[in-house]
Amino acid sequence: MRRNLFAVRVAEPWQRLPREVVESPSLETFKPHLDTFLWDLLWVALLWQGVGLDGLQRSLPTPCHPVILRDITGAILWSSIITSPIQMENPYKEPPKKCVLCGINVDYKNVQLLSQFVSPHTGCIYGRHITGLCNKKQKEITKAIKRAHVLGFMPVMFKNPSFLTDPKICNVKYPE
Amino acid sequence: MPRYELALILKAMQRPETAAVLKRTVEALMERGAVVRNLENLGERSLPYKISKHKERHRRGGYFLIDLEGPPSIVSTMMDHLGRDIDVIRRTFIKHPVSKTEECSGIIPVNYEDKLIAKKK
Repeated sequence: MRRNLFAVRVAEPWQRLPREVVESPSLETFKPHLDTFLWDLLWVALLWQGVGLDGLQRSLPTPCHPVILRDITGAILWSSIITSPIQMENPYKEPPKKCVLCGINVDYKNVQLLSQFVSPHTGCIYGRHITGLCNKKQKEITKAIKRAHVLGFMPVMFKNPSFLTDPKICNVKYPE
Repeated sequence: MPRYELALILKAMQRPETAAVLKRTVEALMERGAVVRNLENLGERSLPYKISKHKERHRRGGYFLIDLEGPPSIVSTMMDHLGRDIDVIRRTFIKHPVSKTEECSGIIPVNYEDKLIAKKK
Protein backbone atom coordinates (compact mmCIF):
# COMPACT_ATOMS: atom_id res chain seq x y z
CA MET A 1 0.00 0.00 0.00
CA ARG A 2 2.88 2.21 0.77
CA ARG A 3 3.83 2.02 -2.89
CA ASN A 4 0.71 3.95 -3.91
CA LEU A 5 1.36 6.96 -1.72
CA PHE A 6 2.21 10.12 -3.61
CA ALA A 7 5.26 10.59 -1.44
CA VAL A 8 6.68 7.30 -2.63
CA ARG A 9 5.38 7.15 -6.16
CA VAL A 10 6.35 10.63 -7.26
CA ALA A 11 8.63 12.24 -4.71
CA GLU A 12 11.36 9.60 -4.82
CA PRO A 13 11.90 9.64 -8.61
CA TRP A 14 11.52 13.45 -8.59
CA GLN A 15 14.49 13.74 -6.26
CA ARG A 16 16.55 11.68 -8.65
CA LEU A 17 15.96 13.88 -11.68
CA PRO A 18 18.72 16.30 -12.64
CA ARG A 19 18.36 19.97 -11.77
CA GLU A 20 17.92 20.98 -15.38
CA VAL A 21 14.75 18.91 -15.68
CA VAL A 22 13.35 19.89 -12.31
CA GLU A 23 13.84 23.61 -12.86
CA SER A 24 12.13 23.75 -16.25
CA PRO A 25 10.06 26.94 -16.42
CA SER A 26 6.98 25.40 -18.01
CA LEU A 27 5.26 22.10 -18.64
CA GLU A 28 6.12 22.27 -22.33
CA THR A 29 9.84 22.46 -21.64
CA PHE A 30 9.67 19.98 -18.76
CA LYS A 31 8.30 17.22 -20.94
CA PRO A 32 11.06 17.15 -23.59
CA HIS A 33 13.73 17.58 -20.93
CA LEU A 34 12.32 14.61 -19.04
CA ASP A 35 12.16 12.61 -22.26
CA THR A 36 15.78 13.20 -23.13
CA PHE A 37 16.89 12.43 -19.60
CA LEU A 38 14.89 9.20 -19.44
CA TRP A 39 16.11 8.20 -22.88
CA ASP A 40 19.72 8.66 -21.81
CA LEU A 41 19.07 6.72 -18.65
CA LEU A 42 17.41 3.95 -20.66
CA TRP A 43 20.48 3.69 -22.88
CA VAL A 44 22.71 3.41 -19.84
CA ALA A 45 20.48 0.92 -18.07
CA LEU A 46 20.18 -1.32 -21.11
CA LEU A 47 23.88 -1.08 -21.83
CA TRP A 48 24.49 -2.16 -18.29
CA GLN A 49 22.12 -5.08 -18.67
CA GLY A 50 23.84 -6.13 -21.86
CA VAL A 51 21.05 -5.58 -24.38
CA GLY A 52 22.21 -4.94 -27.92
CA LEU A 53 21.66 -1.32 -28.76
CA ASP A 54 21.50 -1.68 -32.55
CA GLY A 55 18.27 -3.60 -32.33
CA LEU A 56 16.93 -1.12 -29.85
CA GLN A 57 17.65 1.84 -32.08
CA ARG A 58 15.67 0.31 -34.87
CA SER A 59 12.80 -0.83 -32.71
CA LEU A 60 12.25 2.22 -30.52
CA PRO A 61 12.14 5.46 -32.43
CA THR A 62 13.35 8.45 -30.45
CA PRO A 63 10.86 10.82 -28.80
CA CYS A 64 8.03 9.84 -31.11
CA HIS A 65 5.85 8.33 -28.39
CA PRO A 66 6.96 10.09 -25.26
CA VAL A 67 4.24 8.75 -23.02
CA ILE A 68 4.97 5.14 -23.88
CA LEU A 69 8.68 5.76 -23.64
CA ARG A 70 8.25 7.31 -20.23
CA ASP A 71 6.26 4.35 -19.01
CA ILE A 72 8.78 1.86 -20.38
CA THR A 73 11.71 3.69 -18.98
CA GLY A 74 9.96 4.18 -15.69
CA ALA A 75 9.32 0.47 -15.41
CA ILE A 76 12.83 -0.49 -16.44
CA LEU A 77 14.53 2.08 -14.32
CA TRP A 78 12.52 1.23 -11.30
CA SER A 79 13.92 -2.24 -11.54
CA SER A 80 17.38 -1.27 -12.70
CA ILE A 81 18.25 1.62 -10.40
CA ILE A 82 19.27 -0.03 -7.24
CA THR A 83 18.70 2.07 -4.18
CA SER A 84 18.58 -0.71 -1.65
CA PRO A 85 20.54 -3.97 -1.90
CA ILE A 86 18.84 -6.80 -3.77
CA GLN A 87 18.43 -9.86 -1.64
CA MET A 88 20.43 -12.65 -3.21
CA GLU A 89 22.48 -15.62 -2.19
CA ASN A 90 26.11 -14.80 -1.51
CA PRO A 91 27.73 -15.17 -4.98
CA TYR A 92 31.17 -15.53 -3.45
CA LYS A 93 30.16 -18.36 -1.20
CA GLU A 94 32.78 -21.08 -1.12
CA PRO A 95 31.64 -24.66 -1.63
CA PRO A 96 31.47 -26.53 1.69
CA LYS A 97 34.74 -28.08 2.75
CA LYS A 98 34.96 -31.77 2.17
CA CYS A 99 36.87 -34.28 4.21
CA VAL A 100 39.29 -36.73 2.60
CA LEU A 101 36.76 -39.52 2.36
CA CYS A 102 33.78 -37.52 1.10
CA GLY A 103 32.25 -39.60 -1.66
CA ILE A 104 34.43 -42.69 -1.05
CA ASN A 105 32.73 -45.89 0.06
CA VAL A 106 34.27 -47.29 3.23
CA ASP A 107 34.45 -51.10 3.45
CA TYR A 108 35.85 -53.43 6.08
CA LYS A 109 37.56 -55.43 3.34
CA ASN A 110 39.57 -52.43 2.14
CA VAL A 111 42.38 -52.95 4.64
CA GLN A 112 44.80 -50.54 3.00
CA LEU A 113 42.37 -47.66 3.26
CA LEU A 114 41.58 -48.47 6.86
CA SER A 115 45.25 -48.79 7.78
CA GLN A 116 45.84 -45.19 6.80
CA PHE A 117 43.84 -44.06 9.85
CA VAL A 118 45.67 -46.30 12.27
CA SER A 119 48.88 -45.65 14.19
CA PRO A 120 51.87 -47.54 12.77
CA HIS A 121 53.36 -48.08 16.22
CA THR A 122 50.43 -49.25 18.33
CA GLY A 123 47.65 -49.90 15.84
CA CYS A 124 45.36 -47.43 17.63
CA ILE A 125 42.63 -45.76 15.63
CA TYR A 126 43.33 -42.04 15.29
CA GLY A 127 40.82 -39.59 16.66
CA ARG A 128 38.80 -37.02 14.74
CA HIS A 129 41.19 -34.20 15.53
CA ILE A 130 44.01 -36.08 13.83
CA THR A 131 42.29 -37.62 10.84
CA GLY A 132 40.27 -34.50 10.00
CA LEU A 133 37.26 -36.49 8.85
CA CYS A 134 33.65 -35.44 9.15
CA ASN A 135 31.53 -37.12 11.84
CA LYS A 136 29.82 -39.55 9.51
CA LYS A 137 32.99 -40.84 7.89
CA GLN A 138 34.90 -41.09 11.16
CA LYS A 139 32.14 -43.28 12.56
CA GLU A 140 32.11 -45.41 9.44
CA ILE A 141 35.88 -45.86 9.54
CA THR A 142 35.88 -46.80 13.22
CA LYS A 143 33.15 -49.38 12.70
CA ALA A 144 34.91 -50.81 9.66
CA ILE A 145 38.27 -51.07 11.46
CA LYS A 146 36.77 -52.82 14.47
CA ARG A 147 34.93 -55.19 12.16
CA ALA A 148 38.11 -55.92 10.21
CA HIS A 149 39.89 -56.68 13.50
CA VAL A 150 37.30 -59.23 14.54
CA LEU A 151 36.92 -60.90 11.18
CA GLY A 152 40.64 -61.45 10.78
CA PHE A 153 41.32 -58.98 7.98
CA MET A 154 43.42 -56.38 9.77
CA PRO A 155 46.07 -56.66 12.48
CA VAL A 156 45.15 -55.18 15.84
CA MET A 157 48.35 -54.30 17.68
CA PHE A 158 50.30 -52.84 14.78
CA LYS A 159 49.94 -51.59 11.24
CA ASN A 160 50.46 -54.01 8.39
CA PRO A 161 54.14 -53.49 7.35
CA SER A 162 53.34 -53.48 3.63
CA PHE A 163 51.16 -50.38 4.18
CA LEU A 164 53.76 -48.37 6.09
CA THR A 165 54.90 -46.45 3.00
CA ASP A 166 51.38 -45.27 2.13
CA PRO A 167 50.76 -41.53 1.80
CA LYS A 168 50.07 -39.91 5.15
CA ILE A 169 46.59 -38.52 5.57
CA CYS A 170 46.64 -37.94 9.30
CA ASN A 171 48.94 -35.25 10.64
CA VAL A 172 49.75 -36.49 14.10
CA LYS A 173 52.06 -33.62 15.03
CA TYR A 174 49.76 -30.75 14.10
CA PRO A 175 46.21 -31.87 14.85
CA GLU A 176 43.52 -29.41 13.83
CA MET B 1 18.98 -58.04 -3.39
CA PRO B 2 21.83 -59.60 -1.41
CA ARG B 3 20.91 -59.95 2.19
CA TYR B 4 23.96 -61.48 3.73
CA GLU B 5 27.64 -61.70 3.13
CA LEU B 6 29.51 -64.67 4.50
CA ALA B 7 33.15 -63.82 5.19
CA LEU B 8 34.94 -67.13 5.35
CA ILE B 9 38.56 -67.83 6.26
CA LEU B 10 39.59 -71.33 5.38
CA LYS B 11 42.68 -73.26 6.35
CA ALA B 12 45.55 -72.94 3.86
CA MET B 13 45.04 -76.09 1.80
CA GLN B 14 45.63 -77.41 -1.66
CA ARG B 15 43.26 -76.40 -4.40
CA PRO B 16 41.07 -79.53 -4.64
CA GLU B 17 40.53 -79.59 -0.90
CA THR B 18 39.56 -75.92 -0.77
CA ALA B 19 37.16 -76.54 -3.63
CA ALA B 20 35.61 -79.43 -1.70
CA VAL B 21 35.11 -77.29 1.41
CA LEU B 22 33.48 -74.51 -0.57
CA LYS B 23 31.28 -76.95 -2.40
CA ARG B 24 29.91 -78.52 0.77
CA THR B 25 29.44 -75.06 2.34
CA VAL B 26 27.41 -73.82 -0.61
CA GLU B 27 25.40 -77.05 -0.66
CA ALA B 28 24.60 -76.64 3.03
CA LEU B 29 23.49 -73.09 2.37
CA MET B 30 21.24 -74.12 -0.48
CA GLU B 31 19.77 -76.92 1.63
CA ARG B 32 18.63 -74.35 4.15
CA GLY B 33 16.95 -72.34 1.44
CA ALA B 34 19.51 -69.70 0.59
CA VAL B 35 20.27 -68.41 -2.87
CA VAL B 36 23.98 -67.97 -3.46
CA ARG B 37 24.63 -64.94 -5.63
CA ASN B 38 28.35 -64.73 -5.87
CA LEU B 39 31.47 -66.38 -4.56
CA GLU B 40 34.64 -64.31 -4.44
CA ASN B 41 38.15 -65.42 -3.69
CA LEU B 42 40.19 -62.73 -1.95
CA GLY B 43 43.30 -64.85 -2.21
CA GLU B 44 45.41 -66.79 0.21
CA ARG B 45 47.28 -64.50 2.54
CA SER B 46 48.98 -64.66 5.89
CA LEU B 47 46.57 -63.94 8.71
CA PRO B 48 46.95 -60.63 10.59
CA TYR B 49 47.42 -62.60 13.83
CA LYS B 50 47.81 -66.26 14.69
CA ILE B 51 44.42 -67.89 15.09
CA SER B 52 43.96 -71.07 17.11
CA LYS B 53 41.06 -73.15 15.94
CA HIS B 54 40.25 -76.83 16.16
CA LYS B 55 43.47 -77.60 18.05
CA GLU B 56 45.65 -75.96 15.43
CA ARG B 57 47.54 -72.68 15.24
CA HIS B 58 46.99 -71.10 11.85
CA ARG B 59 49.25 -68.51 10.22
CA ARG B 60 47.96 -68.52 6.66
CA GLY B 61 44.46 -68.79 5.31
CA GLY B 62 42.32 -68.53 2.22
CA TYR B 63 39.82 -65.64 2.28
CA PHE B 64 36.45 -66.16 0.62
CA LEU B 65 33.34 -64.05 0.32
CA ILE B 66 29.89 -65.47 -0.38
CA ASP B 67 27.00 -63.14 -1.29
CA LEU B 68 23.79 -64.86 -0.44
CA GLU B 69 20.11 -64.18 -0.02
CA GLY B 70 18.29 -66.16 2.51
CA PRO B 71 15.92 -66.31 5.45
CA PRO B 72 17.18 -64.86 8.76
CA SER B 73 16.93 -68.28 10.43
CA ILE B 74 19.83 -69.43 8.28
CA VAL B 75 22.36 -67.43 10.26
CA SER B 76 22.35 -69.36 13.52
CA THR B 77 22.08 -72.78 11.85
CA MET B 78 24.91 -72.07 9.45
CA MET B 79 27.17 -70.67 12.15
CA ASP B 80 26.60 -73.89 14.05
CA HIS B 81 27.28 -76.00 11.00
CA LEU B 82 30.43 -74.16 10.01
CA GLY B 83 31.68 -74.25 13.58
CA ARG B 84 31.85 -78.03 13.35
CA ASP B 85 33.82 -77.90 10.08
CA ILE B 86 37.52 -78.40 10.84
CA ASP B 87 38.75 -76.57 7.77
CA VAL B 88 36.97 -73.31 8.54
CA ILE B 89 39.04 -70.95 10.66
CA ARG B 90 36.65 -68.02 10.90
CA ARG B 91 33.10 -67.62 9.74
CA THR B 92 30.96 -64.48 9.93
CA PHE B 93 27.60 -63.46 8.57
CA ILE B 94 27.29 -59.77 7.76
CA LYS B 95 24.35 -57.84 6.38
CA HIS B 96 25.32 -57.09 2.84
CA PRO B 97 26.91 -53.63 2.84
CA VAL B 98 24.97 -51.40 0.48
CA SER B 99 27.65 -49.38 -1.27
CA LYS B 100 26.11 -45.97 -0.85
CA THR B 101 28.26 -43.35 -2.48
CA GLU B 102 25.75 -40.61 -1.90
CA GLU B 103 26.80 -37.08 -2.57
CA CYS B 104 28.45 -36.04 0.61
CA SER B 105 27.45 -32.47 1.36
CA GLY B 106 30.77 -31.71 2.99
CA ILE B 107 31.60 -30.52 6.47
CA ILE B 108 28.83 -28.20 7.62
CA PRO B 109 30.23 -25.77 10.22
CA VAL B 110 28.53 -26.41 13.55
CA ASN B 111 27.62 -23.48 15.73
CA TYR B 112 28.94 -24.56 19.12
CA GLU B 113 27.53 -21.55 20.96
CA ASP B 114 23.97 -22.58 20.24
CA LYS B 115 24.63 -26.12 21.40
CA LEU B 116 26.08 -24.84 24.64
CA ILE B 117 23.17 -22.51 25.38
CA ALA B 118 20.63 -25.25 24.65
CA LYS B 119 22.37 -27.60 27.09
CA LYS B 120 22.37 -24.95 29.84
CA LYS B 121 18.57 -24.86 29.77
